[in-house]
Amino acid sequence: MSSYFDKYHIFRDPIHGYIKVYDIERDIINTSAFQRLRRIKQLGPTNLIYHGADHTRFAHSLGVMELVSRVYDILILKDKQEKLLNWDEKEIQKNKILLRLVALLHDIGHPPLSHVGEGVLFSEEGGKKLTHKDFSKKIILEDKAIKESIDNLNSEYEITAEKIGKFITKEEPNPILQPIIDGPLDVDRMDYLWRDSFYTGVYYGRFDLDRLVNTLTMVRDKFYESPTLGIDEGGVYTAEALILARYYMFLQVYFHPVRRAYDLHFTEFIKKTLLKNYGEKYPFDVKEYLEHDDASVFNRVKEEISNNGEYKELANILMYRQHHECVKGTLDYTSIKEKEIFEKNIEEIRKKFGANFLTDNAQDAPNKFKKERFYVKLRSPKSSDIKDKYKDIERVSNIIKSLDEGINKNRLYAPKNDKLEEVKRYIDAMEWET
Amino acid sequence: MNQTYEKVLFGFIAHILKRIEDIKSYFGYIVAQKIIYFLQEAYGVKLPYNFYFYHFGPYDDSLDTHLRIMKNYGLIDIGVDPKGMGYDIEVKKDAENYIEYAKKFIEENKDEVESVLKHFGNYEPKDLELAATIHFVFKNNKQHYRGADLEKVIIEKVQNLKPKFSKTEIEKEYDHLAKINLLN
Repeated sequence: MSSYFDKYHIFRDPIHGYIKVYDIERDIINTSAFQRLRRIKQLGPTNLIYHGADHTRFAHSLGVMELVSRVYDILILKDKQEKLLNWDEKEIQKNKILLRLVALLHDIGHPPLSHVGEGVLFSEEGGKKLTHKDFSKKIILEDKAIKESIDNLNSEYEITAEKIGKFITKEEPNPILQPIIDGPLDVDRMDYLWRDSFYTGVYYGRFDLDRLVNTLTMVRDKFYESPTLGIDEGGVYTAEALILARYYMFLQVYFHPVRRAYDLHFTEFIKKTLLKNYGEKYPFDVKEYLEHDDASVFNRVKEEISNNGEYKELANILMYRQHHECVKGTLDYTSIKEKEIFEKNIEEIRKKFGANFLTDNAQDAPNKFKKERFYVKLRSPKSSDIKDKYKDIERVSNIIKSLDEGINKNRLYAPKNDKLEEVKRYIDAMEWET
Repeated sequence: MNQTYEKVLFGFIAHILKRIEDIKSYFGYIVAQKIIYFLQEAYGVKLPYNFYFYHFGPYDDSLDTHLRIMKNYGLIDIGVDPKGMGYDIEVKKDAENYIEYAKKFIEENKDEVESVLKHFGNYEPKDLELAATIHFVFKNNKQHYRGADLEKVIIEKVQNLKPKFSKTEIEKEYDHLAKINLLN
């Protein structure tokens, strides 16, 4: 009988070098639904600020699949001694395939320009707001070619399209494998931090990736009896670097003031033009949904300008980089008084200069920084008791303990028109301090 | 999140936390997460969270961040519980303005809040972890199984997810949730 791992192909990747892709994975990659990811930029309109940021969800998905294998192989190797998982060969293979397919397909449901408008532009089903992960599941289940490729694995590996879809949406909890793909030390963020850092040229996103991968290990925590992902004590410094990378990349890239201005402009444009006939939401039907990519947005921008459309002004902002300017911002951690003054002043500014101002808050931005917790396996515990062997990261790292995750910076954007200088002077003269 | 919505949401959360304070001498993130989980997922209170399964059962990281922002705003304090084992959330006086602002939303959802507190207000974090896990697993499987099969599948799945609970404990809580009509 032929095995999943019999035949592989090599893809070259600027971050991870050679990436192995097995036959079934290549079949999935070759579907039109997956090829669409070549036309979805990983960082949306960020290339309007960091011009190198043209990388796509396609490359990221392959990168996550490569990393998940590297991490998984290390975990299995270490488990030969630790025996927390104690899986037989069949179980080991099955879970590896599951993780690789989840990694490959986790982002297949991203809308154009990735996170732009997510939450605003998605449909609701039975009152539940859908996310790109729900669309990933829908595509896996409804795209015939992808579904068939996966379901063919059922007889030998008990893997189905439904299982992959539910893993991605976390409907079917899997506390052992889930944290490898989606958790505090997951391969998704390892890839996107390195990749985004590489393509933007912003060095803050880098950390010792090899060290991190090689120091991951399965642990038990004192409350939760199932094994879960943690780190060897020797990997604490690189885990700190990963967490700090997220923190700085959020402030420098994902929440960059100009990038966020374009997120807001594009969201507005997409709602008013591209999705006008869909009630300002992306269509729920998979076939129609997959017709949308970055190119359809930019084609619509050009059309709006050439046809002198209703939203030509907005299209000009996007085409000729005439974004609103950030004219005021609060501190990263806004106090309640500061926020109240900020909101009151905005109301006054809008009354005086008109309503065409935009506001933004860090909590609405993608890849928000969150401080998450995981366990560290101590090198020399004072006993073999679980509570001595594995410690919460906050008890091991003062750096992580001291980080505050509640970034709630607020910003005000003004249109670049002949009133801009007057607006700025007016803002400067206002009282903003508490 | 605009300020109006933020004020209503934080005011509502502060109100819930205050009500829990009236019942329990101290409580932390797990209790807050699970009570709000039941309000949204079992009683249909319109809140913005997307709960997924994490170490201690259903969890939403935005809710965690919202609690930390509320702390930064001075609406709540998050200290260490007297036993030094977990957290202790305390609602501060500054939250009163927010609670007042959310008055209409609190009034609209009064019955739901009363029901959740009546059924789960006295639960210890570990009990809430189990109850919310059963409910979460039920919600995600109810379409695929029927009758006795459904109960069997849910109990098996919860046992796999939470081996620290015995089958009897899981069955007992399953029955409790069924009795109060949360497993429909």
